[in-house]
Amino acid sequence: MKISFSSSLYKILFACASLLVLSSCTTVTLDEHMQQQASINAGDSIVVLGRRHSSDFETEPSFVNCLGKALAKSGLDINVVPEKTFLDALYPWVEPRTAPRKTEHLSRLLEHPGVREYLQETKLRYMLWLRGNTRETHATGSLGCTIGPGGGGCFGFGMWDDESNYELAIWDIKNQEEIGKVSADAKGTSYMPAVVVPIPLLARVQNNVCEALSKQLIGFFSSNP
Amino acid sequence: MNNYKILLLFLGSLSLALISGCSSTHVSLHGEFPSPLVHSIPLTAQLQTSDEFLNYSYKEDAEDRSKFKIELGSTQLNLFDSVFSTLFQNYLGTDSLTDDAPDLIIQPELTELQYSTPRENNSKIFEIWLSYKIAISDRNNQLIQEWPVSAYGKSTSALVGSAKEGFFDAAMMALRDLGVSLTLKLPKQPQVQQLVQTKQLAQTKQPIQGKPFQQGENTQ
Repeated sequence: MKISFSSSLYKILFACASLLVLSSCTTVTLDEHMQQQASINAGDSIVVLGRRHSSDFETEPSFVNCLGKALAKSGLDINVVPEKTFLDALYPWVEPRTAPRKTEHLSRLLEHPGVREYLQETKLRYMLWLRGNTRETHATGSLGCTIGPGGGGCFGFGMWDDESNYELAIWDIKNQEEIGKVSADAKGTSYMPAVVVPIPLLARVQNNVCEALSKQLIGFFSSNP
Repeated sequence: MNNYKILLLFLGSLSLALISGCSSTHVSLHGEFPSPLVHSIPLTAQLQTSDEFLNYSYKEDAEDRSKFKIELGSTQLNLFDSVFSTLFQNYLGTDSLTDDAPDLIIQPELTELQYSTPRENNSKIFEIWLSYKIAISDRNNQLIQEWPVSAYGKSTSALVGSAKEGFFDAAMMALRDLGVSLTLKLPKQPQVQQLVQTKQLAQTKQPIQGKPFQQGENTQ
């Protein structure tokens, strides 16, 4: 009886471990196209901004924040201006329907009163434009929950795939040109087994892209000529 | 016994979540808005608001839609105050007892509010559309122009937070978008431009301090 219990316990533990391993299986692919080296001095600033001018360009603020925080904590001697602070400071010129979509539009942005002064004051050197999002692409399985006078619970198994596609364009404010692009794609599968209590085993697709993209950017901004 | 308590807690939370999913969503808007970076229109403006405008709330009672109530109320006033305090060289707010005579009086009216939920639009976002009628009157309170303005906002935190957060986000973004329209389009309204020209002509003997306002400024 004791052996049987241990065996069952090992089986459950093995199954959980397998699920955990599977849940962490996220594949991230990065593609970098840099036309120039970054030229950033100590004390300069950058800002990470999300594109939100249409439903196809709905970049999550959480992802923008994740990348901004990763760059701020990177140890590079640069300031990362929070997206909300930047948007408020330059209101209404970087709103979804007024933000410059091409570097050619930067000169027009700088013509508005106070914009050039703000960028000089914050020593803003680069604008990092993020577009893309993370979405659920496929879901399968069945999970049901019941509640009755004697108790209740959930039973079943569900799984779904998440896919992230992001593209980041780096704009040089000083020279008013785009100096590079990095794109990141990732896929991962999340699982939700439920025996009374559902146990979510989530693939950290978006977080993994954020980590990979930030490492790439840190390398890019560290390699000053 | 401990496990049983945990299970009860879990089921209790689940029941609450299910119940809250069926109940109505009540959103009360609050917040501040940034002032726009623009050249001021060389006019003195006053805002006139009705009680209906200040206490505006929208309630959805349609049986085929989720129950929803949103109170925009004085948050709209914050937006108008923020924008107009920079957009006009002299903004009197809603103070009608001031000694300054306004060149124009602006009366906003929210004529329509529409919304859609993720379930309705098959996306992950909440959306809100606002339609305003902006009545512009001269210093004698004679209506000189009625200007329709619409604004759109979508949530950015859908499916991460609750419906309440989604609607709140969307409504704040819609008001922010209204601020963009006011900033970019109000200076281009023909009657406003005419008032500016008239005032500038009248002041030719007394040079205006600062940069003269030109037609077409504050445009993207």
